[in-house]
Amino acid sequence: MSNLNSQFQVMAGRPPHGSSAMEGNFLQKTSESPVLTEGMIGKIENVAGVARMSKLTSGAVAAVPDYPWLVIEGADMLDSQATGTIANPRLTALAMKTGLIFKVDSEISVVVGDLVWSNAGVLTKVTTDKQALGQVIGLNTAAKYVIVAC
Amino acid sequence: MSYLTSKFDVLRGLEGNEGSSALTWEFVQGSGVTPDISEGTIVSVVTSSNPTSVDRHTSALLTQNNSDHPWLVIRGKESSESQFVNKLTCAKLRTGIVFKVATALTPTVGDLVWANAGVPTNVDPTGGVPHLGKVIAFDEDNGFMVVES
Repeated sequence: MSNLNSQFQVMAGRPPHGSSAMEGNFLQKTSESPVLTEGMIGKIENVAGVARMSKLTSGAVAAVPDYPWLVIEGADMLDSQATGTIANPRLTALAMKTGLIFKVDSEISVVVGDLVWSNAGVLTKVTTDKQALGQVIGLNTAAKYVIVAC
Repeated sequence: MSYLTSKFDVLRGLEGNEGSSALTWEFVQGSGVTPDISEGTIVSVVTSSNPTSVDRHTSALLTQNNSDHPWLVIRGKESSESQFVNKLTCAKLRTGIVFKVATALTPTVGDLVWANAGVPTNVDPTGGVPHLGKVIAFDEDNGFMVVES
């Protein structure tokens, strides 16, 4: 949300006053490419006994449930780099599917009501057997953003 | 919560209050929806609507077996605030909310809850679809149940 040209915004649910979603800080997994930036979807991985964040690709509906996180301060931000390291920036993220509405830059072809999943950290319309992480409740194709509730 | 005689109330979880958890948002009532949607009704987003609008919800699976996304109307068209801004205020179910709602049913504490044409019910309307909550109290004398979601 610090990038001036970004449309990313958490519109409702952010703690403490919005209060729905849980916030956490995680070091990014080494060698993530591209890096996790604001508005991307991450997951927590065990890397040698330490929790690290990497990009999420949603699983099938019948698979073990995903625990997706929405990155709100990504590796593109100085505070993320300053509180972590260059190789492992510290990402701030909100737990998804706990009550959260956010707006994010996107050019995916969706309509209001469509479900979305995460494909390598990027929102994608559900058209195959994938666990949805939210529902589109608004969009602006001219301004190239979508609003998702999850 | 706008009627003095209403049995509807949000008991826990409303955003903006201490201990809040549920997500709230405002939607337009879908065009041509009759009768007007009142508090305590369960709604969902109308596909392809612009502006984004809602209609009464019946529990069902969505695309590729993913579960539905129901919302509880906490300020309906019967309230003057809603009429003034032409919006319904809704709380997203399954995000941590406890509410009391009038019912003509006789549920048992522990029954699961679904939505049928916007009405909370302890009967799965289509069979095998995800529930949206559970009955945690029932007052037969006063005709209401308390639901957690």
